[in-house]
Amino acid sequence: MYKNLLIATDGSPRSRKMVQEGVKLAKALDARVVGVHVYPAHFGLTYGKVGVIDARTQVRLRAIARKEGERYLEQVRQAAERAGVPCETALLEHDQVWKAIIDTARKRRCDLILMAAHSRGPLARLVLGSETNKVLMNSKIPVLVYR
Amino acid sequence: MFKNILIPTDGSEMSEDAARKGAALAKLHGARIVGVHVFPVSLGIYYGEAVWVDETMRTQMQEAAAAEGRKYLDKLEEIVRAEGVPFERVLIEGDSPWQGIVETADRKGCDLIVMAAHGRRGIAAVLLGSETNRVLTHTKIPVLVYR
Repeated sequence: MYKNLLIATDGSPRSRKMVQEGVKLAKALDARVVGVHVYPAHFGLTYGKVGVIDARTQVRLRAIARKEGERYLEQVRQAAERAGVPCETALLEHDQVWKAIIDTARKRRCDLILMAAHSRGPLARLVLGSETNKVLMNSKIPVLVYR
Repeated sequence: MFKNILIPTDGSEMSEDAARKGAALAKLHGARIVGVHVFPVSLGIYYGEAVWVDETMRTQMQEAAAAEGRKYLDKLEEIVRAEGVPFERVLIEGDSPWQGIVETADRKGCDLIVMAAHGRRGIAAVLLGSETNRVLTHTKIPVLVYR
């Protein structure tokens, strides 16, 4: 059935839980997983048309994001290894997270995308995360959304 | 893995397509399927403050809606049984389909909801149907979304 699951994580507690569930599912399906984390190429905070974050800080933030992202993907690799599920990972720099996820799923021939419904924040429970929403709207590959 | 899968139907081709894939998944997991259809209670034509539907008409319309719902569930049952998967049906009335879906999943102890990205009212321009979006926002169990 599904043989190649893309697991998109943002490292949030919900995502971490989803990673565990996703690996369990992969095991049950005798599938492999592709762990993906996308961090922004440009960090936000603009005021009017002026970017408040200068170029040097951008470079620093990207370095931090890469390091964090590596940690999130290590969580996927470890979970997969424990379950004996074949795993590869991709750390991507892209300003449109949803697009990077869909493109990667297509390129790596994934047949199912796994995501958390939303990530952080006190209001997160009330709405569907915007990236999850965009993946749902644009993906032709089925999406399994975890709460 | 998944043992008790909820599949809502609105009789549309999209929901039948999702049902076929859901049934295949259920077979693989040795799961059962609960099929649900929610038909509207407040069928009516409103003009300003006036309601144009009297009680007799309302009853007739509700009976017709329930009969239509039974047909949708018959079709769903046929799809599910063809895979040799145990099936249980739930036909309920309610003005918000998403609420009926989420509550039925709860009541029946389902561990996965399988549904189409959009249903009957889904036109090409609507990429994620409002009922699907609300189910995703309100349920606590994973949702597998097909396009």
